Amino acid sequence: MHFNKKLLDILNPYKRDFGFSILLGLTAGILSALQAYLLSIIINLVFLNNHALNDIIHYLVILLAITLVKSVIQWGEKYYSNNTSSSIKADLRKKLQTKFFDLGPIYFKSVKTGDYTNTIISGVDKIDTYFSQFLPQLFLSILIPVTFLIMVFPIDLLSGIVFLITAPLIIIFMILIGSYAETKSKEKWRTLGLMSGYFLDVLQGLQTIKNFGRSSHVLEKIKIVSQNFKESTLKILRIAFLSALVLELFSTISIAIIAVEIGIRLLYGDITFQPALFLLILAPEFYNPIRQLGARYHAGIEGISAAESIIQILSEPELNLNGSINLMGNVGSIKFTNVSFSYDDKKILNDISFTISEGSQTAIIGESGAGKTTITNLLMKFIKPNKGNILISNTDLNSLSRNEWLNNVSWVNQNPYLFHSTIEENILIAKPNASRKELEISLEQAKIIDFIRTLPKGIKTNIGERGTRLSGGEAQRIALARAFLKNSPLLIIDEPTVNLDPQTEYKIIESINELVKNKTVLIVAHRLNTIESSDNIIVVENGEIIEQGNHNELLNMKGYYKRMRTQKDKLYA
Amino acid sequence: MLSAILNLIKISKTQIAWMLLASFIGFLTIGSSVGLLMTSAYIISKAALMPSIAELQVAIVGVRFFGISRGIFRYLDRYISHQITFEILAGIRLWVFKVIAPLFPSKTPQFNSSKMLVEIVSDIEDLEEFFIKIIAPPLVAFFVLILFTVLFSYFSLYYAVALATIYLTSGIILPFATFYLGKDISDNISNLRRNLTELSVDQIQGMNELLAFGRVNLFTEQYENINREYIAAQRKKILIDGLNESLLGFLMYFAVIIILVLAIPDVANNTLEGVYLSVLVLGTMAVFEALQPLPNSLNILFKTSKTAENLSRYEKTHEDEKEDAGNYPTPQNHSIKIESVKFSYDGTKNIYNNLNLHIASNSSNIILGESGAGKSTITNLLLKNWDYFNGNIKIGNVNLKEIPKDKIPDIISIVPQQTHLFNLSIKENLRFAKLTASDDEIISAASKANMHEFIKSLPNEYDEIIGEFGTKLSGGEKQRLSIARSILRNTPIIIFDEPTSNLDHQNAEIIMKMIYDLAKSKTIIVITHHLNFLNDADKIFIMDKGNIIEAGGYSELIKIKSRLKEMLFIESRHLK
Repeated sequence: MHFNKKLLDILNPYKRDFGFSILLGLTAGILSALQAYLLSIIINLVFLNNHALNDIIHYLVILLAITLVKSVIQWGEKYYSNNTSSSIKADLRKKLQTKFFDLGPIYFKSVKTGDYTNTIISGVDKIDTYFSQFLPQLFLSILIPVTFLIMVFPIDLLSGIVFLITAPLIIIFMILIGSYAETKSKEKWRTLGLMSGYFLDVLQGLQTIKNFGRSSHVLEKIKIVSQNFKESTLKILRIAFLSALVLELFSTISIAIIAVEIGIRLLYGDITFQPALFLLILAPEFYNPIRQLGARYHAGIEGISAAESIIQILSEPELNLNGSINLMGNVGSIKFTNVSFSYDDKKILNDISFTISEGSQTAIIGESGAGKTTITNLLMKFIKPNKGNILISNTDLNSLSRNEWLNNVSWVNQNPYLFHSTIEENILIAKPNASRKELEISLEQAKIIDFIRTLPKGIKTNIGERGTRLSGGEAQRIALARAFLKNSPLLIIDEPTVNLDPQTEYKIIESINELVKNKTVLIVAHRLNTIESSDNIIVVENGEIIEQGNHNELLNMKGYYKRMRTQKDKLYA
Repeated sequence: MLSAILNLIKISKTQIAWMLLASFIGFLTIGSSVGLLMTSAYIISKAALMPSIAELQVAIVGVRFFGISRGIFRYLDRYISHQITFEILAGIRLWVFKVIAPLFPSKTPQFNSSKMLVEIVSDIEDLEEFFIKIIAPPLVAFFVLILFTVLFSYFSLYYAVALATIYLTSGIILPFATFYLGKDISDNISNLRRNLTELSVDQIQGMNELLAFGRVNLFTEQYENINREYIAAQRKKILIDGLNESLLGFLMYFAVIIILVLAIPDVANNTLEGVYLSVLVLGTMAVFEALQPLPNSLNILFKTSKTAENLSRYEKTHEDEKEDAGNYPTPQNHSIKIESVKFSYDGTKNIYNNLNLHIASNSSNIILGESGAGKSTITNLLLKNWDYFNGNIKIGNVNLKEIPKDKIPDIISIVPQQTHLFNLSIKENLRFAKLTASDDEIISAASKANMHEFIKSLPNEYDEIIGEFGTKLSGGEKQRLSIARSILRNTPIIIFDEPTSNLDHQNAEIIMKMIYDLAKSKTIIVITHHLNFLNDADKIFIMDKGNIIEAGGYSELIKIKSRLKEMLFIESRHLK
């Protein structure tokens, strides 16, 4: 049970430390038997042979010494089992972290970030408890009872048989009820989640609740839902706890059976006192490892389900987006030749061809979902074409080193991400070795310097710190400051103002007009007037280019562009 | 720390009797194994003297009883403990709601981000272990202390005192010592864990930027450093916890040896029957089971008290909000007069210095302005979400301050930009506005918001559950449901905040027409920065930096050299 092949593969490199920890655990178990044996000898000598304290004091000293050694060994067992699990943990987290980059940003577009951070933090921590607690206990719950049986059989056959029969019975019942209880306990966690979800829903709707004056109504509802939840969960637990009942029942009844069986045989002189007492003291120690396993059962289940999601991520196919060739000389011209791209079997770009010559400005327009952003993602090497190729001065973009290529590119997008650090660090990410002067100039160019001056800690303000939430416009300005600072020859701009109100948008675009000077520019836009001055305008529809040319050429085509133009003019006539 | 825990107990006071009962059953569980081992030892020792079997009968019955009772007590203990836990959690949820609701939103800035709300919910979940791991173990250990003190002093007071000394050392000094040894590490672990989580979020959400700026290697290095530190700290903590376990095992045998040293001379000089030597030894071994959960209790106590403090913090802001809900003058009409209002959220930056705004009863009004101009604050003041301002606001000549806060929802309703829909059925979400609404009323409201046909197309129609945050609905559908809700509410004043922001042109037209229609019998305010559908409004107010800089009808304003005209021009020739 819970002996997962893939989990064992993870363990493989560390099996020596792991084996050593098991060996220490077993040694501690044998020392427990030795303690029981010494105790039985001491009590026997005093009780039946009338020895005084002085006669047996050396036994007590040995007992104390063994106790000390056992404590040290138990601690050593922890030390080594934890050595193993710590290494596994470090390993897995590193692998996952690397894997995230390999999968690329597009992979994470449609998923909840929380799921992945959960896997890499809590999930990996749960693997720890599996390897440091559950798995060693699984081995010890077999090894220790077997060792004890080997000791017990020569001393007393009948007690040996009682042990031999009851131990597997406990395990069998544990598995039978345990697996049933497991599904039940999963249900418990699910309903627990539902209750939290319900309460979160209420808290998030607090404004709505107040707007409608429904506080007391909702309070009553929380009471009812809590009550229902409690009743249904307890119904589940009534059954789930049966496994604990069986576990306790069997091990204590077994001890009782041993006590009565030995007691009666003592009466008839079939056994002597010392071995009888030894067996009695040993009996709880015999069942203890199995009980411990029961207690760690949950860690085992959690570890396995955590491992499943980790292994699933690690086995996702990679995209191989990184090339090895460095670009010689300038970026030069960029040429898309018959490029197609699909995602999840859905065609996003179909047979696209166009050229961006050095120093020119190219605009891409079209409805949302037409494939505009996909074109920029291809240029950023976040994805690669399924068909066709992209040539950078006659070198295939696929073969270029990602890092090297992106050195030449500045990218301003719809939702710039701000990292959990200061404003300064967030801007310096574009050029870590920038001088103070360069940084200040970029702040001025992005027109964010006034805003930063209003903050008590200025540029050292931590983003996300209590009270400092940046508006969309301010975030966009930080992204612009990054681009000004990086000052690379190729500039890709992807609808940076789409989420802003018109007034803020207007100011941002002023800065962008400054930024694009003397650069090769690719701009994705929804505002038609931003692009009139472009050297080339590409109209995309359903993943295909339907029109291409400069403003006047497109107007003369009397197609999509012309239609949009007139519609807009009419709207504000 | 302690006050937070006491507060938790206060919240859960209805459960105190149950808590005592559960702890007592927990004690009986351990008591059963103490009984089992002591009587077993008695049987074997007595049997060694070969008496008649009759002398063992009682003990044999005892052994059988204890053998069975432990399992049953354990089962009852777990069952009742969990029942208590659910009651406590339910109590805490109610308490949190009761504390927050009256203060929201003006006095609870901490709660006004959804991240904080998620934290509260998970804080409450963390309190799940409050009874089982914190309250019960020390109580059980205490009951066991009493049990063995009584049992052992029956033989000799010395045994009882000796065992109690070692027991208390193991149960109090040992856990506290190791706790303080590991306390800094625990703090460090949670800090590092937070760091690592933030880095993981940075990696996934900021991957575009990390790649675009060539920061992958540097980031990875930073990540690995924190990860190494985190794992090293966790490891230290585990080793300290391990120390605890080892020492407890050592102290148990130490107690056995001390009992032997005390009891053996008594056996030699016949003050103690030899039969009881093994009984005392096995009894000593059994009582230590009660101490095993204590070190962990202390760890969890520390964590929980932090959580409890987080929650209690909000109670401190709790002021008595009771207003005289008695008679108040009913507004004769539903005009709104804002006169010389000065207001600031935080006391530093004034939103309004001197705001004046007159809105006629049963008219349609548009308040136009860029974001940050102070449009939405009007809503916050009218709804009494914030009630500290200078100047006067009157509704139909009744001063707003005289209208109790809980009567406001009967006079004004709002359709916010981002509405919250509960994870319930469409019908329940609508009925939230009017609990007594008939199905016909609900359908009529939905039809007015142009939602009826859409709802009819859903598999369960009005009974369709809309998912967390209304995930099954588009932004526009949510917005229209929110509008339907306000129609159902049927208050004399309705405020629409950007009602068409998520709607396509066709729906926007339908909704705006409906809104202007409502103005025949209601006072309507539309807050927006969109310049569409302005023509039919009775009055347009243009707001800038907390002032009304222009007011008038569309045709009136468009004729003169107005700000509205300028705005329309910028919008159309944008960015030239």
